[in-house]
Amino acid sequence: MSFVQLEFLWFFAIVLTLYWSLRKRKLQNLLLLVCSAIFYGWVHPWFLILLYSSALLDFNMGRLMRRRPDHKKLFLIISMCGNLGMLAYFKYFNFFIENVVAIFDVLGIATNLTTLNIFLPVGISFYTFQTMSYTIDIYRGELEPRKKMLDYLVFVSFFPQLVAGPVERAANLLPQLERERHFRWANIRDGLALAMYGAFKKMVIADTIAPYVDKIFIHTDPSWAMIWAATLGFTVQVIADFSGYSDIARGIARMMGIELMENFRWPLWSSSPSEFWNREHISFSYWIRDYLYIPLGGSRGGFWRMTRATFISMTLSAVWHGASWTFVLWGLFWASLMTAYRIVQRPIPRHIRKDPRWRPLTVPIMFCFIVFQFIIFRETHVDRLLHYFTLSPFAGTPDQWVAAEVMLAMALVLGSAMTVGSLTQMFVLPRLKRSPWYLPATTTMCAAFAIAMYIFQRTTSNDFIYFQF
Amino acid sequence: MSEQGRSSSDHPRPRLPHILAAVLGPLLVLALVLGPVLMRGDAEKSEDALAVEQALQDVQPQIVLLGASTMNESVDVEIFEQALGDEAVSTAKLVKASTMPAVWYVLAKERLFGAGLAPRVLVVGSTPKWLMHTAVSTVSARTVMANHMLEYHPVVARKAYGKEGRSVLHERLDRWRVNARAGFQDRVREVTVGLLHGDGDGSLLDQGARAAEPALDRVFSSEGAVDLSLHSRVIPVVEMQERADAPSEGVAASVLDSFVPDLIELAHEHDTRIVFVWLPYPDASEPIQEIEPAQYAELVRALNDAGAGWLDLHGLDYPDQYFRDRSHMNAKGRQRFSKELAQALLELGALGEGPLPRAVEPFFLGSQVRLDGEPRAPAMPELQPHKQKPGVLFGTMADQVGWSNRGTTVAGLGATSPLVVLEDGEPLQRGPCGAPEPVTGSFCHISGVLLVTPREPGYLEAPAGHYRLALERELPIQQGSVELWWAYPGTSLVADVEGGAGGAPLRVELSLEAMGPGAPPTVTVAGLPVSLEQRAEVLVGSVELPQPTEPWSVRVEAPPQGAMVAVRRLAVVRDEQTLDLMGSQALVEQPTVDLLFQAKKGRMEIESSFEPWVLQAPQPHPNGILGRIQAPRLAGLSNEQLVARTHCPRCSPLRLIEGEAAYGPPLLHCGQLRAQAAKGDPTGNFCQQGEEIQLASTDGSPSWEGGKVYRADIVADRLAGFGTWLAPGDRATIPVAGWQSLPMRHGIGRLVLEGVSVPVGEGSDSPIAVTLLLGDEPSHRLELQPSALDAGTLVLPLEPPLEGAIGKLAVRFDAPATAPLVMLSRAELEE
Repeated sequence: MSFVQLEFLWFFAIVLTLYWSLRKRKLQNLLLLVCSAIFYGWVHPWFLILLYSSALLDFNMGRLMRRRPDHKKLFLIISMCGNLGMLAYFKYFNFFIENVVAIFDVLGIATNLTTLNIFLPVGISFYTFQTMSYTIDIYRGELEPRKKMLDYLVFVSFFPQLVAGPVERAANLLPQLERERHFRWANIRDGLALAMYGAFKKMVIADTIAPYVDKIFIHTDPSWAMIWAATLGFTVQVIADFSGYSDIARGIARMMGIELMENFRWPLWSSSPSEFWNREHISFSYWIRDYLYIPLGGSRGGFWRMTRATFISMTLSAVWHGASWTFVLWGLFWASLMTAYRIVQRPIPRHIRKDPRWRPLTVPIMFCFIVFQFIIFRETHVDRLLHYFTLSPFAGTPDQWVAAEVMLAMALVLGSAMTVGSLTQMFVLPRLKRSPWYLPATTTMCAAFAIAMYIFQRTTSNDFIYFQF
Repeated sequence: MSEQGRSSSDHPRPRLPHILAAVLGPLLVLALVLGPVLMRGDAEKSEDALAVEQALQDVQPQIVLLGASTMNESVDVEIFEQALGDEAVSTAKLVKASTMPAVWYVLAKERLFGAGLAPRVLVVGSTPKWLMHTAVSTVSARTVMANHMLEYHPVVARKAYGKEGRSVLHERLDRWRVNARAGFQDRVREVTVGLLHGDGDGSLLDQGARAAEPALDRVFSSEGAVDLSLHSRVIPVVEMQERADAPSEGVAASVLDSFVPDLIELAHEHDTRIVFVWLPYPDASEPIQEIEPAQYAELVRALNDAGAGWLDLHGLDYPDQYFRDRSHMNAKGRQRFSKELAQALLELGALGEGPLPRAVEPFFLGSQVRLDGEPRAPAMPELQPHKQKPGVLFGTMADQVGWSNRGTTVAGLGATSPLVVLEDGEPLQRGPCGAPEPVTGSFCHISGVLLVTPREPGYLEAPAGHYRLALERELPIQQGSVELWWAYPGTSLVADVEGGAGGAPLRVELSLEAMGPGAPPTVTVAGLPVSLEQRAEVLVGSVELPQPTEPWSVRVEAPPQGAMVAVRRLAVVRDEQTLDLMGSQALVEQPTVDLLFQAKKGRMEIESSFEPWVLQAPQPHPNGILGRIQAPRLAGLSNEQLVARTHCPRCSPLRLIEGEAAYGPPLLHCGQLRAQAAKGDPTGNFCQQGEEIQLASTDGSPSWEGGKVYRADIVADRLAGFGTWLAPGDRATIPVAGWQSLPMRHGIGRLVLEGVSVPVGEGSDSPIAVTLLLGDEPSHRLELQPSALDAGTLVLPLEPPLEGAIGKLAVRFDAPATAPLVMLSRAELEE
C-alpha cells in the first residue's frame, strides 16, 4: 500500500479512529502491529515472513547479549550475518553472479552460473538497518534489550516509516512506544499539515516532472543540454519525492502522537558535501556515520584514515541504494568530493570557513555538485553515463534545444514551488505559529494542497522512488 | 508544514473567530476553485466539442468514419471519396487518438446524432479485440470523455465505469482537472518556447505552441528515438512486476457487455447504417489483436443479427512498409487502404437501400484437438555421459522421420517435434541442441542423436530406466506463432469445429505432411471422405460441405504401418473468403527471407568505390548568411521528391563534406535553416530544395569565402527509414543464415524487389548486377534494371531454383559507377 493511494486514506482514517478510541497503550500498540502487518503485507503477505524473521532474530540476539555478555560478540555477528545475508540474497545476489560470469568470460572460463528471478521486497534495506541498529546499540551498551516483544515489533514494523524510512533508532522510537500517548488536537493539526505538504511534494511536484525526466533518460541520443536539463529536473523530482515521503511518514506518525526523526532539512541549501549529508536522508547518513564511519576511525585518526573511512562508508552507503556499478561510481564520487573538499578547506582558518557570509558563494557551487551527482544516481547504464560526459555542450539540433528548454522550464517552475515551500517552512511558519491565525492558515493551506493534488494526480505509476532501495 | 510538533502546546489558543476562519478558509478555497466548474450550466460545451460539431456541420457528412488514431491514419478522406466513384458522398472523420468504444459511443451520441446529423453510414474502424474494450483507460480517452460527455449516460456509467453513479458532475470535474493539469504543462512549455523561439506572429502562447509541438514531436516521436528498455530500474520491485503481469481489465466477456450493441442501436435509431471494419495491422502487431475465436464468432453473429455490417479487411496483405509504426499506416498505406475501404463498402452495398448482407460467421475450433488411440513411442536409446558436455547424457537413435526437432523434416516449423523425453514420468522441456550452455531439465535430438540434461545433477550415477520416450498428446505443439498437429501411426487426430451458422455452402481445405514411407493417411470431414493429392511433399485435400447445422469434426487417421502425419493447415473457405482454423496459407505456401531485415541488423557488408561528387562553389544567398549551390544532378534527392516517391520524410542519404568534415543529414525544410540563419546560428546545417542546396559552413564563416570545397556524399551505412540505399560503385553483400532458407522446401525461386531509382546525372541507368553466392561461389547472376523498380514490384526468377536448407548464402548487389542511386524498400527471397 502506498501513501498516495486512495485506499491508504481510508485505511489510515480507520486506523486513526480506532487508535485514539483505545485508551490503553498496549492495545494501541497491538493495533499498530496488526495495521502495520496489513499495510506491509497488502500486496505480498509473504514479505511479512522476512520482516518478522529479521525482527525476531535481532530481538533474541539482544536478549542473549544481556543473558550471556561473554558471548555478545558472537550474537552480534549472528545478527549481522542474518540481516546482511538476507539483504545480500535479495538485493545483491544477481549483481554478484552477473559480474562473476562477466569476469570468467573475460578470462575465457566457461561457467554455468545463472541469475535468479528474485524481486526485492519493498523496504528490506530500511528495516534491516533499523533492526541492526538495535542489536549494535545493545552490544555497545547504549540500549537495554527489550523484554516486551510487542513494543519491539511495533518499533520494527511501524507502518509510517517501514517502507522508506526514516531509518529510526531504537533509542528514539522505542521509548515513545513504551509510554502512554494522549490525544492532542495540536498533533492532529500539525501532523495533517505536514503529511499534506509531503503528499503535495510527491503528487504535484515529483509526479509532474517525472515523465519529462524519464522521457529524456530513455532517449536513445539525447543532447548535452537535454540530459543536463533532465538531471536538474531529476534533482527536483527525487528531493520532492523522498522528502515528500518522509514528511507524510512523520505527519501521520505525529497524528498518532509519535515523533519520527527529521529526515530532510532543505538539502539544496548545503554549502559543503558534509553539510549535504547532514540535510539529505539524515536518518540514513547518521546511521552510516555512527555504525560505519566512526568505527572505521572517523575523523580522529589523521587524514589517511579519515579518507579510508570516507571511501568505505560512502561506497557502501551508495551500494545500499542499489546493486549497480553506477551506484558504486556514485559513492566514489561523493567520497572523492568530500576528500577534495577537506584538502581545499584545510589551510583555511575555521572561523573563516564557518563564516555564513560565504554561503551566497558556496551554496551555488555546492548546488552544481549536487545536480552533477544526480546524473550518476539516475542513469542505470555505465556506458550511457560515460557517453553523457563526452557530449559537446554546444551540439544538438534546434529541436533538441527546444526539448532541453522545456525540460529546464518545467524544472525551474516546479523547483520554485518547492523553494517557496522550503522558505515558508524556514521563515514564515515559525512566526505564524505564534499567532492564533495559525489554525485557519493551516486548514486553508491543506485545502489548497488537496485541490492541487486532485488536479495533478497521476493514474499511472506513482511509486515513491525510494521504494526500490 | 509544521516542524515543531512537540512544542504545539505553546501555540496561542484559537478563539471562535479563528475556529470559524479555520472552517471557512478551506471552504472559500474550494468554492473559488471548484465553484465555476460546479455552477456551469449543463448545456455549455467544451471548445473541443464545439470544434468537432462545427467541422461536422461544415461537411454535412453522409459517411462518418468513427474510431481512434488507427482509423484516422488509415483513411485519406479525399482519396476515399474519389474511390467511391459515382457514389461520391461527403465524408467526415469523427476520430480521437487513444480512444475506445465507450468514447466513440459518446462522440456519436453527443456530437453526431445529438447535433442533429444523421449520416447514411457510420463506419467504425477497429479490431474485434478493441471493440470488446469497455474501460476508459487512457488519459487521452478520459480527456476526450470529459470534453464531450455533458449528459449522464447510463450505458457509459454501467459499462465503462462499472457503476451507475458516474455522473455528469463527475465528468465535468474530471474534464476541469485534466484540462487544468494539461493547461499548466502546456503554458510552461509554450511560454518558454514562445519567448525563445517565437516568430512574432500571434500571441506568445500561439508562437510557443507552433514552435514547440513539431520540435518535440521530432525529438521524441521519430523512429527509434526512445528505447523503453532503458526504463528498467536497477532493482525490479515486486509491485511493478505484479502490475505488469496483471490481467487487462475493462474487457467485456461477452459482446452484449461491450459498446457494440449500443453503437448499433444508436445508429439505427437515426436510420443510419453502421458498418464495423477490422483494420489492417502490421504483422508484428498480430498477437496484440488476437481475439478468442469463439468470441470473434459471437461478435460477427451479433452484428449479423442486429443488421450491422462487418468487413474483415485485416486479412489483406499489408506489409510493414505500409505502416509508420506498429499500428498506424503511413501515407502509402493510407493511399491504398482508402481505396480498398471504399471498394469494400460499395461491394457490401453499404450505400444502397436494402439490408446489409450477413457477414460470414467464422468457424472456430470447439474443443481441444485430441487423439483417438494410444501413440506408440520409439524405444529409449541407452544413455551415457556426454564426453564434451559435463552433466549431459547422450544416446543415439535412428533418426526417425518427423522426430527430429531440428525442423528439417517439417518445413520451417522449428522445434515442433512431438517426441518427449520423460524423466521419472515427468516430461522434460524441449531445448535447442545448439544452445551454448545445456539447459537443466531439457532434451534435444538432432540427426539421430538424443541429448538429455537432467533436472538435477546426480542422475549420471543413477540406475538406468529413469528415462523413456513418449509422444506428445497435448496438441497443437506450439513454437512461437507456429503450431502443428500430429497424428501418429495407429491413432486418429480429431478436431471439432463449431460456429459458422448461416450463409453459403463451404469448402474445407487441409494440408498435411506424411513423414516417411508407409500407407498415406485418410481424412474425413463431417463424415465425408477427403481425397488427398500429393503436391511436392505436401498432401492437399478439400471437400465441399453443405451448410452444417451442427458442429462437425475433422478426422485424420494414420494407419498403424503408415507414416507420421503433420497437419499443417486447416481452413474453411466460403464466398471466396478463407478462414484459417489452424496454420496459415502463408506458412504453407510462401516462406520468404527478408534481406532488408538482415541489412538493418547490421549484417550488410559494403565495399564501395563511390566517390563523393564535387559540387560547384557556393554563392551567397540573398540573406548574406547562407551559401547556395546549384546541384541539378542531386535534384532527385530533395526531400520533396523523395517524400513524393517513397513516402519517407527523412530518408535523404545526402551528406555534405566540407574539406574533410562531413555533416548532415539535410534539414527537412529550408525555411527552418533560413530561420536559424536569421537568428544568427545556422552553423553546420544544410538543406536541399529542388536543385539547390543551401548551407552554412561548419565553422560559421561564409561558405563562399576561403576557397572551401564542398562534396556530396551518401550516408555511410546506407540505411534509410524504410529500406537501404545502393550508391553508384557500391558492392553490397547481404548474408543469409542457412537456417533461414530451411522453410523453402521447394528451393529459393525468386528475388522480389521494390524501391525507387534516383538518377544522379545524365543517362545514369546502368543495370545493377545481382549475384547469389553459395558459399563463396556465385550460383546465380541476375540483372536489375533500376528504372524497372519505379514501375512496381520487380520479380527476378532464379533458374533453376536454389535448393533450400543450404549452407552459407549471400546476395550481392554490384552497382556500377554509372548506375543511379537506388533505394530498396523490399528485398525478399521467395520460394
